Amino acid sequence: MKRMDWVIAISFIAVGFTCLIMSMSFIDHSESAHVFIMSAIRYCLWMGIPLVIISLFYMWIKDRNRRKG
Amino acid sequence: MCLFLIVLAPLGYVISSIFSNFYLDNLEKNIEHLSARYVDLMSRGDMMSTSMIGMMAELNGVDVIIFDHTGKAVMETNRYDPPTIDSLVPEETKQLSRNMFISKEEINEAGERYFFKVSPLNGESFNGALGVIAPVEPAMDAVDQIRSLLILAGVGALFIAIGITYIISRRLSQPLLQMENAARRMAKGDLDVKVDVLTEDETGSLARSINELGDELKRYRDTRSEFFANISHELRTPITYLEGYSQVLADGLIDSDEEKSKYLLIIHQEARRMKGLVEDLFELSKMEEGKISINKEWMDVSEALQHVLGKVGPRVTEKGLVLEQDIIKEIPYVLGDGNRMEQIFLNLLDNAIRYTIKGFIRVNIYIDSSHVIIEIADTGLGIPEEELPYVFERFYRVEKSRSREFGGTGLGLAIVKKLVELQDGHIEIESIVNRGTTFTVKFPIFLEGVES
Repeated sequence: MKRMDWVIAISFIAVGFTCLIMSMSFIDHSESAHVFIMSAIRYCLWMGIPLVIISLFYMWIKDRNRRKG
Repeated sequence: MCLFLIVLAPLGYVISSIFSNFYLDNLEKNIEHLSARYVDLMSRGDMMSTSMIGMMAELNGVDVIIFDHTGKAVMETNRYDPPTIDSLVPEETKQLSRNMFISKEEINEAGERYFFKVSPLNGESFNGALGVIAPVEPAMDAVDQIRSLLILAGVGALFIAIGITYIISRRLSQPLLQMENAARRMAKGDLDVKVDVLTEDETGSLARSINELGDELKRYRDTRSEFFANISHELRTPITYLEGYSQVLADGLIDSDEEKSKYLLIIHQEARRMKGLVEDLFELSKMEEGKISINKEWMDVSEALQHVLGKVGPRVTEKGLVLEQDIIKEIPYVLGDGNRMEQIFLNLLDNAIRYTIKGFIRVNIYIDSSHVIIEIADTGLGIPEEELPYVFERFYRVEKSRSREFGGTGLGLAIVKKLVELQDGHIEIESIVNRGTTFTVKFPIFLEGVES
């Protein structure tokens, strides 16, 4: 992938991430950075869980295919 | 992106409907609860309770309308700008008199929605009714706010999905684009191009196959060029002889009949050589295209060999060589084509006679546990060890000068190898320079699932 491709992809993800965090922290009626950061951490945790599960599943499939080989 | 929208749009609509219905249901239950309390208070029947209901309604954020037994409004609060309701329609009054409730939505002059719940006031008979009217807008405002946040979250999820999909698609498509580029370059003749094998999955396997295809095409191209160069050379030489000597004869530049006969003999020999070359080429090309017919049947190899030895015997004697034979009688049959088998032995013996100046040619035939083995050895010029891997290639000659000195087309061993392989056999060569060469041909006695 070229650098431009990475810039485009990361920009999309950053904008999406900001939209999600804003919608999460809006109800708190607080504009403090603390709330925003905590929301971001909570969101990352929720995104991390499926990522970890998918990664483990992928590694298991890869390992099984290698053994079958 | 369209796929994400197809998923996200109905999902957003469903979530929005769930929130909207949840809030309206909550409002309705709340009003029902208030209505029940006010009716209970009214049932006590004193004037104090009416003013208390008004105060309570104000505190609860609703308005109250009290109807008499004819359905006419006799008291109403007007704090939250409710729609004007002077009386109930007769059907509603009738319904209330049967101790039934009325729930409906009303709209005020400003077009705002209100939820209206009417409960009957029953003593010994139908005394009237109490209506509670509450604005829907505050609840819908909350729903609208949540809807906006859901849209924002949906847009965020869409952007993240697009970003991740972009990375995945680029990573998946990049090797394919590289392969497409490589295939295009190969089509234009650049066969040195290579594709990077980055993974061990299907994409990696495809990249490896493309590299192999490129190597194979390159080898084919090189072989073809070499073949054309060789064939041009091999044909040009006899044609030059034919042209030269026929010109001499045509111009009458000869001194005697003896000289004329000599030139005619040369022309005849070169014409034969060309004919042999063309026949061998035709045979080889048929074999390579798989168009040659091999009629396999159980056959006696020793019989075919004896037949060929009978043919070449006079030539061996003529050249002053000794033909030694060691052929055992009981040879198992092998699956092969009798004529092709004779062609193999004839080519090998022809080679042996051609390149042996003195000494002997020995032919052995014997068996091991699974093969009939034929050995044809000579005491000829021999082939250097480093040249041995190439002797079965078309037009390969150990020394170019051998062509003119000993004749031959340079295709004999290539044909032999093809014929042996077509009959499930195997050929090997051993040679020592100036000591001789031994060809070993093996044919299987047992073929898969068939016992000879």
